Amino acid sequence: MVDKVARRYATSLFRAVENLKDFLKISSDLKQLLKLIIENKELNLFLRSPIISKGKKIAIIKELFQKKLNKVLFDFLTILIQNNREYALEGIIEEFFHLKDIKDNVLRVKIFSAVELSAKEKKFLIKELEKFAKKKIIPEFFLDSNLIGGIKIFLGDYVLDGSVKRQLELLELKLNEYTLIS
Amino acid sequence: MPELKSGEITAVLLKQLTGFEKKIDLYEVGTVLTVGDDVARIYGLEKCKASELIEFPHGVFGIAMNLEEDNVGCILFGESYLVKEGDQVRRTGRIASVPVGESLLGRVVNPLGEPLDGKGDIKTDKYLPIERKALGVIQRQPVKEPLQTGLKAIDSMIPIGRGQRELIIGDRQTGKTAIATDTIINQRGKDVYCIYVAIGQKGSTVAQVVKNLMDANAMEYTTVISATASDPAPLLFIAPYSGATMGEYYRDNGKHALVIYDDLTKHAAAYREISLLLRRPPGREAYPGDVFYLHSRLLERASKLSDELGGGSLTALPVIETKEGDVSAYIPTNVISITDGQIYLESNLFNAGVRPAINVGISVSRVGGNAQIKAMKKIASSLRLDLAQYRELEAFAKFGSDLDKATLQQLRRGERLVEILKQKQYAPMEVEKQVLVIYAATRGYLDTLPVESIRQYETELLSEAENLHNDILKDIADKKDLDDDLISRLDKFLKDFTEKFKSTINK
Repeated sequence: MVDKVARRYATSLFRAVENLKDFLKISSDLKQLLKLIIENKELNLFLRSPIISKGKKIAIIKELFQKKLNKVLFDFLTILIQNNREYALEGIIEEFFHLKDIKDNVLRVKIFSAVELSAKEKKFLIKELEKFAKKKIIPEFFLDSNLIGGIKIFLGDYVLDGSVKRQLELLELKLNEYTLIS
Repeated sequence: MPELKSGEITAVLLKQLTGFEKKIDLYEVGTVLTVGDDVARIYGLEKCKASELIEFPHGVFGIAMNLEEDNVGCILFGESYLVKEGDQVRRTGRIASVPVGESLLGRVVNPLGEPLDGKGDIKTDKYLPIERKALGVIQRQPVKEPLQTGLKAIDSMIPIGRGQRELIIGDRQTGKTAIATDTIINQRGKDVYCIYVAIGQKGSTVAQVVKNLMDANAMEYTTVISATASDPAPLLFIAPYSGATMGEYYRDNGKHALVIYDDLTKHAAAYREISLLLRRPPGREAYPGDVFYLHSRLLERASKLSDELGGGSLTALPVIETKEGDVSAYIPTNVISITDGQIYLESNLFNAGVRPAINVGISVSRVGGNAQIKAMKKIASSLRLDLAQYRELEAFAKFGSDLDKATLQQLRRGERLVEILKQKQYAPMEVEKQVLVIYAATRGYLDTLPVESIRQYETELLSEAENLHNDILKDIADKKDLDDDLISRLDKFLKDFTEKFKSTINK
């Protein structure tokens, strides 16, 4: 979930770096940074803490990242701290990759199935989804026995629901509809 | 239980299941961010449209009210405790609709059209959206038929036409609802379908109104929409729009409908609650900026259709409750400026025994005069004049005998006119009888009678006219005008009757 602040910063960051030649390097750096924030609890707490002063935060960031991060990214982090927006870093990176996906014409989908799909089935499914969405598909597969049978695919805000559970729900609605009229 | 053959069961199942085929269901989802106070915020639903119906889990529905950069603000119509943070919600692509049609007559429903009276399902396949655009200029025509309220004071001096919007305004306990219910009761046999929308009232009050309408056999042509004080604010907010939609169905089919919004003060308060919860900026008295539009778009739906469109009509009688007679508060001034006139009710009149407690001096009807029948128009002008002069002189009444003859006569006439305009509740009067009674009063037949005997005079006059001179009443009703012949017959009858009456009370 991305809030307004993160969206603004992510858009500016993305616009700043999308045409640089080390764009790929920057995005892989960002990916690692995100991983670091999620995995390292201390770093996360440090970024969110309002008690630590700006100067101290910048000094620590300098020590940690100045050598390792691209200059643009390091400057960006400093600006975030100066503007008291460092708490939003996680959302900013998420939104950054969302923007990158749009640029790369990529769609991340979540596929829930009742039983494990075979490799052949998966391949076929992705091929069909790419035809449907006219985008490159990056799938994530999950097992969900609640579906009873069939598959359920989340494409962004859209859901393609072919599960037995949904069919039963629709059948229930349809049967109720008849009792209302007759 | 009657025996069922297995063949029948198979046939029914087959009938219901044909057309149901397994297909992939495509829908759009969002996630509930926060929920509470009948308002939910939803993340996602990027393509959601304004006032679209949104489906929550457990059969709860909502309407998208705020479309913001990163979330959708939604009002909920069900129990908000059924909705939890993180729940998945679904776009329906539909606009909130209510059932319409004759099957709603005699029913008590909630603003979504679901029955509240335990009389089973509403059997209709006709649905119309709650929010509909009001008709344009071309589709309308000026009001021309009267909508008789059955109340002498209103039908004579503040006449209402079919398709008009007439405001009923007054403090609490001044008989606003009484006027509304009497008007419904009087529509019996006049081919006017009535819709009574109770907004934010006590459940017991609504039950009382329904019972009174039933006792008067008025439920046959009436639908009651009830959103009581305990219902969530979103239901109160849509209630009048549902009522307007149900009325518009009759109007669009060339029939006549009357809808009463009781009351719009509480409707505005419910809308204020929703707006503040959705964090819309508050304005005067904390109402949002579009509270004028809230009521103008509702009342603008009342209309008289042109003859090409069937000539149907939808009359609206909005009710506004004032605090201590303050009609210059925000909501009262708004609604006064939208409507085609207003009926002022005053608590000091009510306490003085003038019931209905209408202040005829400041009540007006801006268009209803065109719809009044000629007979009533003729006698009403002198009635209005006499009453106005009486009110001017009323202050001098204390001086009693020190006054000159003409003034005394004005006072005497005025007292009797006020007395004749009093009317009991649940006793609406046919227009021809009203004409007879008011004619007697304005022509001075009552001037020589004691004020205390006026009510008795009225009852006896009406029963005498009904039993012995029904032709006069019938002629007024048919001709809708007073010609010379009718006037001479009226005068003769009234002269004879007044003499007779005087002799009985002097005994």
